[in-house]
Amino acid sequence: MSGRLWTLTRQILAEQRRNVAVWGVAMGLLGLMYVALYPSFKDTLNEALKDFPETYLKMFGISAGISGAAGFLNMEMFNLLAPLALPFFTILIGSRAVAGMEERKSLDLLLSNPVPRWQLIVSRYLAMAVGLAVVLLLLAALTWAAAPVMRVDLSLWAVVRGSANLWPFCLFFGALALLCSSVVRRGAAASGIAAGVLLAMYVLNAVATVVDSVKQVRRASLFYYYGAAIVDGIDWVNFVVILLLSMGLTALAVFAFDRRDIYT
Amino acid sequence: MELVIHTEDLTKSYGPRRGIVDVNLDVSAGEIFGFLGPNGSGKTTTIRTLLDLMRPTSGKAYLFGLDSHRDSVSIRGRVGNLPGEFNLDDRLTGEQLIGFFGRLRGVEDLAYAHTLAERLDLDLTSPMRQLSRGNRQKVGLVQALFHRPPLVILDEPTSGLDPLVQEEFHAVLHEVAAEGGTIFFSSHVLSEVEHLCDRVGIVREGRLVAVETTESLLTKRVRHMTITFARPVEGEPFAALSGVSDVRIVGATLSLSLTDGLDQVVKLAARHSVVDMELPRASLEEVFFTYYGDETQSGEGSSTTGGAP
Repeated sequence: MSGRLWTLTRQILAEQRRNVAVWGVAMGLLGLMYVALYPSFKDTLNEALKDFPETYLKMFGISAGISGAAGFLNMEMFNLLAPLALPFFTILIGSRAVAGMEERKSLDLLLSNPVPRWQLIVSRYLAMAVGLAVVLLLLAALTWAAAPVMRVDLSLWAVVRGSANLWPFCLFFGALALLCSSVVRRGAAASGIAAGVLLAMYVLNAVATVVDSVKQVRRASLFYYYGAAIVDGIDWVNFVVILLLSMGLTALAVFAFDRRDIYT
Repeated sequence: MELVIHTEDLTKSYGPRRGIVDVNLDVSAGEIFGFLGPNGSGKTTTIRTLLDLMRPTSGKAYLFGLDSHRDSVSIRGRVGNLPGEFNLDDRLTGEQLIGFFGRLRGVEDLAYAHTLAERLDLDLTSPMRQLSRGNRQKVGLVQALFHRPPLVILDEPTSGLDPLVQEEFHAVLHEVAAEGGTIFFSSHVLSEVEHLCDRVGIVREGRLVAVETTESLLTKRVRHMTITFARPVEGEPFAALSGVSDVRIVGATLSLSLTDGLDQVVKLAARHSVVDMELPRASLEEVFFTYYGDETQSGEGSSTTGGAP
């Protein structure tokens, strides 16, 4: 990596280190809490789920019932909370890029240095990828840490692959925010659009799962390709495709930013 | 002499709004060039277009003979820039920030940055959020100069600085120019331009209306003369001279405005016994008014800050 690109990436990571710690610990503690609660839930849970309507179970991806701690974590954490909350970590970094820097009036000064514009975008993406990896590492470590203590049968590998599967998924929405911030003039608008797409995709997937007539529409949602890695393992094709999509969005962001004036 | 900045009909419009129109500008190596105009006249637009922060609507700009857009990265490697408005990461100290910019520029030796900070009375160890506006501006000045660029572009560099620091900063700029560096700076503070610049470009409503040496601007324009005589004198003979206007007599003191014909006035005055005579140089403020005339009264706020007595 060129020296300049690394310098820029490191600077963003330094700026984000508190965010990384807060997100990693907060998500990790949530995971830890679910694992800790699992023993008191497990007997009553499957019993209770029997009374739930099939549609509801399908919507949460648990029509086959809850199988073990991994299934429980999948339902509560890795298929619900994490994919809805964690993209905001990357979305906020992405939207702080071009539009955010214009708003903070720090872009003119940074671009007074001999930095090509593409490096500003790519360094954001790299910082996002590295920062997110650390958050996911903390999430996996803290979540799994409760298992031996609470005598829950949960393999470290399951938690790791569940966490790892979030990596391209969150990067996609971060890159989308990055693209938006290269096009629109407001950082809030950039994060708003990316967050809107995230929620729309969630709803789309949830509805299409239960309504047979619109079943095919699921394919438009990233949640469809996200799957349930903690239970089923990582679908590597989807993993790589989503990662490539996030890179494609980043390339579009470079393209858009390169062609526009910087506002004051 | 090598042209450091050269523009050809440089034009930038923001949709229907005027930015700059057909700006043709040449700045040579080693010059201190002042870019003078009221707020909103197009100074910042010109600078930001030179630096490729904005793309020209038409026309071209060259710095060091390189295309402002195509070769922007290598141009910026040779330019130190202080934007008119800027913010820095609040948590960083001046030292961390300069270090970061140094790494981006491949400059490891920050000794000159420390020298500059000392001369401008700036503490580089406090985080930005604790710095006053004036001190932030100093950090901006240091980051523009610490890598000893051959071209320094400064947008309203002394805003927020106290007079003593301004003076020291002017001394720094003179040193930079003496070492062969080129300085291009915008200002609406006329006295500053008068003190610093070799040449001045005057921008009005997006157009470069005049480029002249500071010297010729000052000698060219109206001068005000005051002569105190031993006894009251008649005003008419003075008023009759060509190039003389606004003759006024208060007691034994005669004042007049002069565009030409100083010799005649002196000879006429010498027929009486003269006690005192004052011929202050016209400030650029007045020069400014001759270019802007009455139009500034209505719109953009004729900035009359500063100005020599």
